[in-house]
Amino acid sequence: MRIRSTLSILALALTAACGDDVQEGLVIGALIDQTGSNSETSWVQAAQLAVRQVNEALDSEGSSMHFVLLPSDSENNPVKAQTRALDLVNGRDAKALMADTTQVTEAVGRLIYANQIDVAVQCSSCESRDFLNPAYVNPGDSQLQQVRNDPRGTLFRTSLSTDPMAYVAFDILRQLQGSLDRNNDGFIKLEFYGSDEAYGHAAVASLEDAAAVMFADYKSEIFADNKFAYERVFHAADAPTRVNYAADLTNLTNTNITDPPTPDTHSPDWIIMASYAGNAASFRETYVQFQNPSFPGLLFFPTFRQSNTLAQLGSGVNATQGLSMLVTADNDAGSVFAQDFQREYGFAPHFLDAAYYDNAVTLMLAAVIGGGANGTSDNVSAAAIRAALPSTSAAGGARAIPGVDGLRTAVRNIRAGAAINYDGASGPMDYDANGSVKNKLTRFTGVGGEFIDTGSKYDCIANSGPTCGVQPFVAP
Amino acid sequence: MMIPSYLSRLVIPLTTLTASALVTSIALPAAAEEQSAAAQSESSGQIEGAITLDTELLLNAPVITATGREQSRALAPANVVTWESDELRRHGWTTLAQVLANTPGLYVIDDMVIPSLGVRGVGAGLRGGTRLVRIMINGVQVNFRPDLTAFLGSEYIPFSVVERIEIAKGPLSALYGANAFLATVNIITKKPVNGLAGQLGGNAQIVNGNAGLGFNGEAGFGNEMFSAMAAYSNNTIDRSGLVLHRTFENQDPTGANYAGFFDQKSQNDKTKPQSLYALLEGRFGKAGILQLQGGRQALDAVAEFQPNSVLTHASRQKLANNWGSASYIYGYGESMTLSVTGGFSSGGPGDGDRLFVSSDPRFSYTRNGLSYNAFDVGAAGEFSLPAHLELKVGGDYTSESHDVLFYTQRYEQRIGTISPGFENERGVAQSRDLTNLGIYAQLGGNPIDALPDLYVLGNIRYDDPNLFDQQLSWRTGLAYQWSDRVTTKLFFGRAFQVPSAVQLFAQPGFGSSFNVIGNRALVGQPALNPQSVISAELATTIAVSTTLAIDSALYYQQIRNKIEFVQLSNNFTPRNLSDQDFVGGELGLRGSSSRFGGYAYGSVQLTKNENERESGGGFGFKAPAEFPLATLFGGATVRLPEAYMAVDLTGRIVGPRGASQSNYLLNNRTNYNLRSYATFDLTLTSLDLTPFGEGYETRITASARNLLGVRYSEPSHGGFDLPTVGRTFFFSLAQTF
Repeated sequence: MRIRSTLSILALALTAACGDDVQEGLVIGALIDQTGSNSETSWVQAAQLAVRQVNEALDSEGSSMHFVLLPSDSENNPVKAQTRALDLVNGRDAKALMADTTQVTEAVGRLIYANQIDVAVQCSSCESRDFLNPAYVNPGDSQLQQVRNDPRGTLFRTSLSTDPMAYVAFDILRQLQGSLDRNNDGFIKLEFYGSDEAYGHAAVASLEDAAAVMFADYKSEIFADNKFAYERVFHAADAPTRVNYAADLTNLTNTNITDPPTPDTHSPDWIIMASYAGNAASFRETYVQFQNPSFPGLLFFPTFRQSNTLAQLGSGVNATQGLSMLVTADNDAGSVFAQDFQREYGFAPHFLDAAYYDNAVTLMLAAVIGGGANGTSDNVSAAAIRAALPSTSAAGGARAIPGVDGLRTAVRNIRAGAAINYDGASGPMDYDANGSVKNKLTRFTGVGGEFIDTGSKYDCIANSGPTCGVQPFVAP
Repeated sequence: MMIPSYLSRLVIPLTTLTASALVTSIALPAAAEEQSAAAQSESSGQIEGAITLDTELLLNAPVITATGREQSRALAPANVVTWESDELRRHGWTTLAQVLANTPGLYVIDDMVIPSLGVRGVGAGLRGGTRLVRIMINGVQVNFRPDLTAFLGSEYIPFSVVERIEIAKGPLSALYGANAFLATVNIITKKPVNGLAGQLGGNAQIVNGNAGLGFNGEAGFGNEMFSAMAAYSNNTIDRSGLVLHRTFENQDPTGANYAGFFDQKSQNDKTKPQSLYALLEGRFGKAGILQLQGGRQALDAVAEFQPNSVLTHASRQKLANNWGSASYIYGYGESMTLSVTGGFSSGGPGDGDRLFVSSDPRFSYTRNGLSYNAFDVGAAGEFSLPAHLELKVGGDYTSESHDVLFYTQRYEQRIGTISPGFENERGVAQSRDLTNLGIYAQLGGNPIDALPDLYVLGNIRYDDPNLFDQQLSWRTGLAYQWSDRVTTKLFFGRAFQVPSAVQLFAQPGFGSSFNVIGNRALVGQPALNPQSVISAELATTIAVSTTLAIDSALYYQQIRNKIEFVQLSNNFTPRNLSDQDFVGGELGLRGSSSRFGGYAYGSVQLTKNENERESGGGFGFKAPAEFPLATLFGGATVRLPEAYMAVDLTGRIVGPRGASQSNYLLNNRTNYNLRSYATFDLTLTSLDLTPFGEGYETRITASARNLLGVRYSEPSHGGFDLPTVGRTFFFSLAQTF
């Protein structure tokens, strides 16, 4: 024991001799899943690229402001995310938080409600339609309601809502099959399959509402004549290894409809799945293992389009179908980001890298705005960042795009007191009144072990209505 | 038959399938002289079997690995550590892993299947094995090519045939090619020269209270013209009863990643290594020397502590590796020698190789692919030049055909409508070829008449791997013998290594997470480049007295593009890591007298990593990932001829080891170190015990390892750190004939 103690003391002395250097600057906390069911390592890299570029732009403009990104693993676990958000804000003085999924961001939002933290939180993998909807009422959950209704504006996102996704999903099914009646039994039956948490429920609710609109013209023929039905199925919001997908697959492929209770004897035509990447990939594995020609088709929501899915499924990803936002915006802003990312890391951006880059950039530009002409890393408050975030995309402001040059222009304009309009790597960051943005959508297909865009794009920016420009089905 | 004098100083580096093994056969007359000298010393009162270190041996003990030719250890342009068979026996070491674990500058982490070997601050990483090091038997690279790793347990070679192990630290790609990256290990085997000789033995060991048995045998015949030998070993070791300990804060036993980790012991945790080795050598005077050797290495281990397969009590890895080589050396006069070599190796999973995912007995997985066939050929010439220079030039070609790793999932239970036994292929059968053409030259000697004690060396080698850019390796060295007692060496070099087939092509499919996936099997990854090292080293050996020598080394090594499996999200993919620089030092004492012998080595390195994990940016005393900050090794042997016994005590004091990238990530990017530990081994060996008469020695070894029963954890990946066995007892009995 004495030897052990001596060694430990020696080791401690050696370790203490060098110490860890602490980088100084305004801290942005990045609560991003790196090991959980919705993880994508490159999201942190995208945010780090943003920080490096903004710092370079600030340096070249003679600003003394400097940013530091502190990544922390949300594990897509609300409880852990809360602990780590507290550590980032109260322990490490983060002035703003990046976050990932709906459930994580909502959990952090509860801390704001409880006055345990007071910073702007902006997420990038949080497509739940209800998440930023002040009109939405969570039964028995007044906390989130109040956070959503916080007049100061506390929650923001750089991703699209599930509402337009639902319309696009139906349109893609129409493209794929010509008719949604995939098994040609004269009856359209859809399975809406989500994770049993905020995102999954919101997506399924979006699909239900969209179905009512999309099939409005069919009402007399299908609804009234009982030729259309859907079923809601939710899997446990748990790690992929703990979910019984085989049982779910049975529910999703049999003729029964349990939820909402509906008498029916038809086979389903399509499963539309909205869950986290790991769960969606694991379900896909089960679906393939039990493959049966009579199985319904399978369409995924955007979370499926992650490299972790490719890693899990390998060649099993081929022929999968889904819808997602564009990997990068289809303009110069997207191109500059893609080039910079490729140059920095040696590979092309993955899905949502652009959204996380935009997340970090807008928070930092908001800090620069909040700091004014003489802002420093020390004199910008969390409240100032929160208040300035919508001003990063001011209508009529000078356009700014990703990349050091674009960000330098933005910094210069801000310090000159001019308004800016940041046009992001993932699309315009034009926040609506609720702190949400719009993007374009596309269909993706698994080909050769990767996802590629197929089919036409859906411009949910230009078509800002709820249907994203998708036309309802017309009854024959 | 006399060996031509020019052959007695000949060693030809034949790279991949080098014939440098022939050194020992070539040096047979010298060995015979040593035997004679030993006999003389016995008659003069010295003790047989004692390590007879004197200044001559301390400085000038012959080694061959540093240049491919026999050379004095002190002048060899690499930092060479040698372990003689007698030392191995006195310490009770019976596997290569044990030897390397007690060698300064190296560190072995045993995952109970294939141990990994780190060198001078550079950890091997996940599935690293011995990839950083070229491991050879008599100069022939012997490894499992898909992972570029050697099996370090007793499956590698029957240990009774080992004559000497040389460990040359520093990059030697300029001599041997791609895999001599940070060090080179060369096992020199015995060769019978005096008629029939052999050994039969058995052993028993108790690990965690579990008994295991083993046996080995060797037989050989030889004379001046001919040596033939075959050896076999077979062991069973039961490590059951190990438990994982929580080593970092974020290990949540209720979390999905950690289910079942901390509430159970390892079961059925047996390893059954088998090894076969054979050698045939003919020495035909002026007609040259022909050597054939080969072997089979069979690894069979229950795998309780692998990422994604923790404490399943049923995962079992079985791999076999077969190899063979032929080499022929022919001399033209006194000034030129030519050699040719050829060899093959093949291997892959065996029947019974079956894996399970942690906490999920519903499916088993078999590894398809992961097999290979390799052919190596080489030719070289050595020429004596004016000005006391020797020139060697040569070339070699390697061709490997790999069946890419993928998995078949088998249902062990009925699930839904699928019956047990249903098999589902989780990947696609693919074959990939890796080839490499290398040419090289080495020039060395004592060219300056005014400085006859100055030895200079230069190596250059060009490699053309088929999947990567051409590589240039080089080395230059100076050695100066100031006096009979003091030698200083200075050497620089560059080495490289291309990724393994698994790192390039392995497909996922083993469960849904913690798979190892090849760089080219996953779209959207940065292209993987060869890793490289540039190193400089200053080494000094001082013979303080006739019984004590001091070795010191100061080195700097600059690793670029280190290839390592890193955890990205929930899987492992190889990446080129950011720059790593190391400055380190090693200091050692070696000594011996007629009754006592011993050694003490210490090593420490400062590390500089250009990654986000270490924000400091400068050199510092930081425990590198999966490598100790500092180590102190020591051993002492007392010979008691009156009791026909030697008593040996060895100790290892090991500083903190840094966590793996994977566990750093799983610990929310928070660094942690595994705590320091000290272990001590006590070994009693018989000394010149010949109850059945002269020439029939009975060898008894009784060893208690990790005497204090210290339990500690070693860095691992995927959410846990490895447990280690506690106190172990080993007993062996062998009879020579």
